[in-house]
Amino acid sequence: MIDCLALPLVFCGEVNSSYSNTVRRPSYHLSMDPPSPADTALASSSIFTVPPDIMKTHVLTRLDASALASASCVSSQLYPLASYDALWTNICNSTWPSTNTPRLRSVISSFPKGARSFFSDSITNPDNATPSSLNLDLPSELISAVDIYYQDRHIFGKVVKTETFEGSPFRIDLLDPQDSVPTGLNQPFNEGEGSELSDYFRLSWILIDPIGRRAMNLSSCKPVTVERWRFMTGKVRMRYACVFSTGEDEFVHCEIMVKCKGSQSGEMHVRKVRLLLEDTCEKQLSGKDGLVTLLKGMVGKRVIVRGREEEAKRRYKTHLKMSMEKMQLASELRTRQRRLVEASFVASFLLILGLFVFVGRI
Amino acid sequence: MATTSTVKLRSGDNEVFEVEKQVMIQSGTIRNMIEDDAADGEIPLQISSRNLAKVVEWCKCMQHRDRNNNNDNKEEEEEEEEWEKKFDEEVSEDKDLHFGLLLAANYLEIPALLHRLCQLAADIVKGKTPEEIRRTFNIKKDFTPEEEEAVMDEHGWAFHD
Repeated sequence: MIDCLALPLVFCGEVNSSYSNTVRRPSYHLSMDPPSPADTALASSSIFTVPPDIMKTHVLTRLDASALASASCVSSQLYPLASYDALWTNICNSTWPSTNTPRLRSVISSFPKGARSFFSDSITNPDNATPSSLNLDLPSELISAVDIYYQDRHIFGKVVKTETFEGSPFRIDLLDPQDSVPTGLNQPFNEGEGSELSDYFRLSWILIDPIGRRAMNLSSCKPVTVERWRFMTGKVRMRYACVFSTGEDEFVHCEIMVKCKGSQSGEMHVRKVRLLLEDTCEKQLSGKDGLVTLLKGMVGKRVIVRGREEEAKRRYKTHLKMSMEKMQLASELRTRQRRLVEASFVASFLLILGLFVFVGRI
Repeated sequence: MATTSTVKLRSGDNEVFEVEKQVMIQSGTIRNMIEDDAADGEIPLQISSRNLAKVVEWCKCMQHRDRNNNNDNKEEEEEEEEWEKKFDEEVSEDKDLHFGLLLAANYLEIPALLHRLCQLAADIVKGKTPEEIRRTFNIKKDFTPEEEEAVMDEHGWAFHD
């Protein structure tokens, strides 16, 4: 239940607040007059005559995030009501069930505007990392809150804390190798359903910097590729990606790989969920470079994930093409250099030989 | 316990509604008064007769529906659904009635009616831009240009095409 007393009653000049809570019994006694009425019930009524706690507990709780954001921007009276932290905490928890843990709730409440900041951070992908000159305090840990949904059903949620980024390459594994998390889904998928998987399986990977009090989403929401091994084994590998710019013609590609496998009972299990970072030449970033790049992405320009799944897929493909071209270019360059070295070697040899012949004649 | 089977409700503009107690026990406020034997005379309510009439009509319909819940009378069911649909439409189009009823439902403690009216209010807000919400509820924008820019910026993600 939302604590109705935590916010100043901005409309209280217009209503008798003692009747504003449906749970409360009216405070009349047998010997006294019947309950005094809602003062404004006879006058003309508008949204402003609705007691603030009714607005908060019965109207605003029924709004989704977009509608709540719209309501916040309507007027200075609605703003504090629609910004009430408990409303946004509920929205965060229902959008990403993994965030509903005591540790994450406490991290979220430390964000500049609480759950509202966390929400707006977490539904966006990084787009442009900030310039390299920016000095950033490197956090000692990053938190990943990951949720997987099948259609509208939440089938997997996990939070992991990553503390060391010294190793190479940068990698976050959500599950241990022996882990196998049941999804409650039957190992499914008749042949021909593969293409539909890319519409059904959605993933959110929220990366949180608890010290900088920032977060961002590293997933494309829908997979950019789905691979299925022979359908009888029920093995599925999905890739989610987010590509963001780190400079002119420089990109970082966050790749999330999810592996699922059918169990003996026929239930689908999640076996692996891994995040990797690659640069423009498909070289994996080292632990520290990865951390710095991600932090710059967090501070930089953002772009909303929802509704942009096709754009994310296009970016991913462009990135792959660019990487390929760059690698081809690099290999051509190497070949050319080798030929140049060979040519100059032959030329020098001929020159020396010529010199010997010349000296010999003299 | 009270002896009569009806209860008299006097609206703020002095219209008296005599309603069966069985109907009005949906109201927590009235139910408490009936239980406390304080409902024998007229109960004065500062609710306009128009709103009170609508509340009573709603309570009657709900009681009728609950009583017939076990019957498999399709015709009656359809009739009730039709009535509820009309009620929703009427309320959604008339903000004075909508919020007047909402206050009355809150005051009379009729949770089902309160929830329905709040759901209707939420449904009206959904999918609208701040300007459309202002127009719908006749709300004046009282942000300074700087404040407006700041709040729109804070929720920039919501206004993305």
